[in-house]
Amino acid sequence: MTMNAIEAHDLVREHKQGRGVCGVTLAVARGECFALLGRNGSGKTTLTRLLLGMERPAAGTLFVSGERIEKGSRKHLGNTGASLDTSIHWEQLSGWQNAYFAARSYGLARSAVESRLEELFVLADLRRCAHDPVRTYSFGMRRKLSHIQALCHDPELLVLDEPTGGVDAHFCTKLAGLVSQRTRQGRTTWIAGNDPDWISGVATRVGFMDSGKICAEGTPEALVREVAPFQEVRVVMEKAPPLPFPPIPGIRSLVQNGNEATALMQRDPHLVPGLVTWIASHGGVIKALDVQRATLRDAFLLKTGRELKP
Amino acid sequence: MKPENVFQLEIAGVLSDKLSLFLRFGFTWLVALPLTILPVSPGMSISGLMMLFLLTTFFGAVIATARRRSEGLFSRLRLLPLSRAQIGGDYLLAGTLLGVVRLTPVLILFALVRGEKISASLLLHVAGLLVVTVFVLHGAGMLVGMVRKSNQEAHLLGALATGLIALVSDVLPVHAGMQGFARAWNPLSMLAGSLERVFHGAGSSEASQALACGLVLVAALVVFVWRGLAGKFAGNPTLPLFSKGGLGGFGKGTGQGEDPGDGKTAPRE
Repeated sequence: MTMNAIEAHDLVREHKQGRGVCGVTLAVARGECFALLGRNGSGKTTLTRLLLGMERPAAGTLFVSGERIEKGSRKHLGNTGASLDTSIHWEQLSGWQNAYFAARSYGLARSAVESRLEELFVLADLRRCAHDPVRTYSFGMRRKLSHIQALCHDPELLVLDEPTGGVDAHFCTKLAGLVSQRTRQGRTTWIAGNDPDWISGVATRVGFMDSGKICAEGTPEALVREVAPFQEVRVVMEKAPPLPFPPIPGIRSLVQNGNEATALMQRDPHLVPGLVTWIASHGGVIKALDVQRATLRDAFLLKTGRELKP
Repeated sequence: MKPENVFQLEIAGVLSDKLSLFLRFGFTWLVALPLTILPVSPGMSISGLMMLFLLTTFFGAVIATARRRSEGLFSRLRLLPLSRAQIGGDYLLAGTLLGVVRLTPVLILFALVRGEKISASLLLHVAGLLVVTVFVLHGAGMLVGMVRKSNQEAHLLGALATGLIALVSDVLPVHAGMQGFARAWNPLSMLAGSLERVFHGAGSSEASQALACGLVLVAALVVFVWRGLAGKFAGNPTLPLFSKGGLGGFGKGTGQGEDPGDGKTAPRE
């Protein structure tokens, strides 16, 4: 039995249209927040559906929560909460009724359901319309309801497909906090998404998916460092004496243009204070400072942008 | 109503949509009214009622199942730890209950207006056959509805299958020899036969038949009450799919009432 929360070996699932998953091998440890970034049609949702046992792998093996997953595998679902990219609810019933049904189906005790749902509906800012029929909900509200249903039983494995699609920035921030809290508590989260900025704040490890394969994998920091090992620091000075090249290891260049100086340096957090101290020691009075670093978005675009590849 | 299982979910859904409820019941009773109160021949009246039963149960189930599939409701349910049998079984039971509730007034009206010397055993026989017929037709309709995903195809297939069932059930009289054959196994045909007896005042039903139908009624009642109240007082509303701690050995915090120390984990049943 595998000790990882998710483990896939040479997983293949092909669709008639040619998209799907083509030989994915990966392992997600318990307590990790693993995020998958990829273009539309890169196979993220197919891989997510495979995890949930909604599709059968054509080849390869997949273990989730220690259970080997085939189509129709159900056992692991008791400890899994999933919110897929399409929000499907019983439209004539209220949001509360939908969530209540999900919570009870997961086996949450009656005594615990009300308080747990209350907490989640408040978090999602849906408390006021909790008892309105879902057909009156907006797209974003439906997405939030899906997330509530996935979270209601505080699952060991949380699967979120496009979690930030259509929801407001307030909820995105709260969801990020919730996912981070889960990670600290040792619970596993799987995210398939298209929002590198949000993902870089919550994921402990990220995989870039392209054409059904994971083409890069690592911590957000490592992935960014891999494609862009340098950061650019722009310094605006009130008083700017002519500056020589700083003798600080890690600084690659310094270009001064009047009161403005731009330094290219390695992504080392100690280098910026070092540069500031050095400028001050040469009589420069700093008015503003702007650090520009590559982000996960840049790394993703560079790694998966086919037109950018040589 | 707070639904605890698919059966309660379906019933809550039907009850919460008042217009749809009114249209469903209104259609059935509106079509049934001339067939029961107008002085048409018994053959025409019973054939008409059987066609109505076929439409409301079998054809209705085909369309409802295809709609649920196209709307992704089955896929949504498959994300929950519920087996196909639980999902299908609860939908079947809910459909049967709604069908019986919808069609019982029609039969009562028929018995009141057209019936002669009706005994309790015959009534029991008719009621039992009604439950069996609705159950079988609804189940068959669900199976046909699962074949096609689009509503258009489901309508076409459902209409064709309705015609076929009408033929093999002797609802549309095509051959005299067919009747005896159909009444030996087909609940719809048996129900038509029992309605003829109600009409002609054939008196009581055979004791064995009445007993069997009585048992069917009791069983149906028990199952409806069980699913309707499952989880309302105590226990898990779902069938005991997994035993405690038997969820694949996911280790600490399997969700079965364990608290990982954060005080956040809600208890489970």
